[in-house]
Amino acid sequence: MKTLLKYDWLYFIKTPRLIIFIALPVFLSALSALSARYMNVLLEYAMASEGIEGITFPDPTIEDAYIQFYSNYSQIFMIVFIFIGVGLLTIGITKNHYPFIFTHAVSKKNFLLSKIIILMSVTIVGMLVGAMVFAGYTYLLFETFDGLYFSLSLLMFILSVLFVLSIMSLMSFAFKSYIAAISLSIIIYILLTSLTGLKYGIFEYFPHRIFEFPILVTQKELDFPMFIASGITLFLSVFMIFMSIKVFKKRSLM
Amino acid sequence: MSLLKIENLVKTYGTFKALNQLNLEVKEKEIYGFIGRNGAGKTTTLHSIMQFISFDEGIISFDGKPLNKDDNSYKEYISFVPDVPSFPEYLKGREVLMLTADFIGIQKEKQKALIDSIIEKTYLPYPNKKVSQYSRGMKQRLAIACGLLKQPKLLIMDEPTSALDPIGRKSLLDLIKSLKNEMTILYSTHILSDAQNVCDRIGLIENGTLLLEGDIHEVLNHKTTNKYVIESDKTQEVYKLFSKHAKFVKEVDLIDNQVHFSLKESAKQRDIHALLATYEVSINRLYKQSKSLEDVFMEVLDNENTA
Repeated sequence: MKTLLKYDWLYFIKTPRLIIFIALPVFLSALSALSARYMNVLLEYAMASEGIEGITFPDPTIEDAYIQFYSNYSQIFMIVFIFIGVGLLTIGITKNHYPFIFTHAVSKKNFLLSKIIILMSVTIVGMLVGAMVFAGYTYLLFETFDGLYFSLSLLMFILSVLFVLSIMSLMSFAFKSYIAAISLSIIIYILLTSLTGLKYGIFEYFPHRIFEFPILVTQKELDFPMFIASGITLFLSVFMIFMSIKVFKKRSLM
Repeated sequence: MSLLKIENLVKTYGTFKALNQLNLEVKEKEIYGFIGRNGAGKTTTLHSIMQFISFDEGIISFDGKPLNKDDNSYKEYISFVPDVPSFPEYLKGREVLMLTADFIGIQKEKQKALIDSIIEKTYLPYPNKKVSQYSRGMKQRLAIACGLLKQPKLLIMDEPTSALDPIGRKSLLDLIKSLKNEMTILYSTHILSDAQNVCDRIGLIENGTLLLEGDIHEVLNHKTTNKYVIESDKTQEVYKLFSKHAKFVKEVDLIDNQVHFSLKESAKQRDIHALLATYEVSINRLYKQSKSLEDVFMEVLDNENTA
């Protein structure tokens, strides 16, 4: 397992991917705080230059910064994460690395788990660095920052990353193609995020709601269904990773 | 004692039977040439041994123990060199070897010396260059280096010379010969001269079935050749004599100022001498044409097709 982790780690450090996973969150974090703080000024300036006068925008609040942060992360960071993540998960097929790895006494379960661990670890580190930059910048610009609720919201976002990763994993090991895995992962992700508003009756416990939880937490709107839905999301993520292992074990390598 | 034994192996892809009741036995410390045409089932067999693919029926045993799909500990003693090796392109050749050493479990302090010796042994050029800059031949050398690093009991090589230039091919064949008493080698190839050059025993596969297996010398004498050559100062005269009067001859040909002919099955070598004596024709040399592995290969396939 240790060598598999090293093999997957090398995929990040010997290519620009690690820099992307750190630099992108840092950039998005700084951008989120700045754009939230000065969006009203920018809009007023843009409208004035077009000759539209008299419209004033309310002063931004810290909530706008949180919304901007999670919007950027769920739209830009998550798409980059899917592209790089599926690349790592399907490297055995796309780059024909299976004979190099499986000529040794390596288990398929460990092979898959190593990729999940490395992807989650790199993502968490990148997000933590990004979160620190965001916290600092936001405090500088808004002179306030709720560390506790922001940390909790970050946990929710990391759970949503794990959920997306489990979908990517299932798609990558069920289909022997990068294109199929990436297309299906993105389609499912877009579909799930577009359904976040669906929270009537039993739907309020469904895992698609995980994508709106980070913002709800920063707004301190915590309720019981949210915890149930988070628990179900975690369970489903673990189940899908388990299914990926099962599918991969049954599948031939060539 | 056999190190690897395959019994009644069957592998189907849809309705196509890639392996059909394949039986094969590789003995300890021998170089076994696994020969056959492209698509005969060689790679499928090797992938089945490595459990890269599953098989439908049959038993594969390594070191006396049948392989179990949930246990791949036997791979600690086997190295596999694929026909088209592929490595992480972002790593240098030496880094690939270090990673391989980690997979094998070689202690860190022993790695450098061992890797250096393997690089020297396999003539791996530019170990400090990235794999992305390697040619196919260099990647094949790197794959062999990775394979040898394990110091395996069984080294499986799938068409290892296919991407090498003539000099590279010769040095690889020399390397294989030098490994003769160190490990068992299962060497798959369709280049028959290579197999004839290095192998102790061979197995000929066609349509997923082993048609012939045995010691290389036995195989070359699988059917005693009945082809002869006469060298003479009067080649034309001998050629005419054999064409007109030798009833025991099946075919006669004049090649490179030599008379080549094959005998009918009932004929004997003394019939040739009797004919030459009768017509008082002097010759310089009469000899039996030696058989190449290619002749045997074609012969066996012809017989198979006729059957």
